[in-house]
Amino acid sequence: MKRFVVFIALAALAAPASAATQAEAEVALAAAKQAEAEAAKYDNRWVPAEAALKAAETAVAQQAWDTAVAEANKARAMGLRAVEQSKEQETAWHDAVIR
Amino acid sequence: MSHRRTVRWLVVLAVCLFGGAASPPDSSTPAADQKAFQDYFRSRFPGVPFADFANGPYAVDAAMRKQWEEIMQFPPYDFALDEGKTAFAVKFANGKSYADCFANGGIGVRQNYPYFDTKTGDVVTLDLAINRCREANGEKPLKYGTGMMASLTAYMAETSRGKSFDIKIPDDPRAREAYEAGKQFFYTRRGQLNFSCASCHVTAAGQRMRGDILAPAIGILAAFPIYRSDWGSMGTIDRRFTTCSAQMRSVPLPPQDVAYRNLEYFLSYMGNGVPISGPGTRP
Amino acid sequence: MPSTIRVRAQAGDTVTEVQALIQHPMDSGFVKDSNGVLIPPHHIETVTFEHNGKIILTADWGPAVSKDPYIKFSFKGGAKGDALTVTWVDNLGKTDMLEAKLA
Repeated sequence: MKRFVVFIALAALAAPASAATQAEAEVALAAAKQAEAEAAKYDNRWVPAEAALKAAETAVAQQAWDTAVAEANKARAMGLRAVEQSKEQETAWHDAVIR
Repeated sequence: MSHRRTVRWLVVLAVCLFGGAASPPDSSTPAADQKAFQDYFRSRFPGVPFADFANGPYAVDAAMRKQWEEIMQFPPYDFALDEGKTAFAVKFANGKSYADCFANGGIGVRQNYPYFDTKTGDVVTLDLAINRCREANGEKPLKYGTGMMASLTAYMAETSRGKSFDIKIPDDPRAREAYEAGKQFFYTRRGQLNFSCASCHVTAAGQRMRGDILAPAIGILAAFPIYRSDWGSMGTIDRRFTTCSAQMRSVPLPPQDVAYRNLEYFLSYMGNGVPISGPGTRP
Repeated sequence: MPSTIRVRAQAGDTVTEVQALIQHPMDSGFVKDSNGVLIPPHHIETVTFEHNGKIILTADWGPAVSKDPYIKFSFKGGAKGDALTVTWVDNLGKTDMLEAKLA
């Protein structure tokens, strides 16, 4: 019985939150901004990443935390990929040169 | 030391010696690049007379060419050209004019742009030269991309129609650096679509991109500024570079950004020998 | 104020070919500007071509025709030196006219 009660208690704790919090939204937004700033160093910000970042900022202003987190995560993912792309291209561009 | 650790240290040593450089320099010379570039397009499009590359998609697609020949009976850039010719002759408030800023009074010089200015240490495009001229004479700079800038460059291009691109790379490491930066930009993939300029204008040159035919990169700047039917107005090289970037879903750089000027420098040099065909008209 | 009309008319043996390019924004009234505001309609309604004083072609344009419209047509007759007049009127009542000679 005790093991069963412990199990239920743990299951309740482990249940996913149904909505993001303001703190989570702000953390996600900060991470997204950082990723975009990195991409900017390579002059390789992606248009949809900027759009997602703007949408995240708007969502934060409207206190729509779930949307903010979703958009910020999208922006961050694209920002990180853009940086990867630029780093790969720093050597890969040579392969495309007409010789 | 174990065998595995020895191997690991050797690998680290090798990487430090031979790898790790952010951008290994390309070993060829601009002249060799140019020859390879031009040979590539000559063999890729054997039916096209070299000078005809100035006409972009019309050189490689017969149906488009027919429509272009019809439009050219009454070129849509005519209004901008007239506006540019008139504006070019107007004196600045201080009594000087554009003619005072350019060799030969600005007539028949477009094919020499861009050039590397060893005094300022940067690439000077025709558009930049016009604004530097204005600012040196107490006038406000013009907006890049369209409008009066396009009209003025249309007039200057028209006075050079038929003259071949004659871009020079002086024996100056900064000029070489600018050329190499332009070359790298041309071949580097960017944006969400992961395209480089070469993706469309080398690999897919002559093929369709939706309703358009992709122009070969050789001499692709010869027809600028252009009246583009898509825009319903004139556009300079800046306008095309920025809109192309946005189409790759890469946030465009500001017009006349050093990266764009370097790109124009590289591309124009690759097109040496192709005649100026501007102002031009495109779909 | 430079003319908004450019015309080229070539008299042949039996037929004259006329081309004209007209500078006009031809705003349909359905397009929004970058701020999301509708650009008011401003387009040519009628274009008239006269040969030696007689109307040979009337074109009823309107919002469906694009910016800086181009027109090309042929008519029977016409000789070098004949008078050709092109007139347009737009929906705001503005107008322009050009007199040319057949080449």
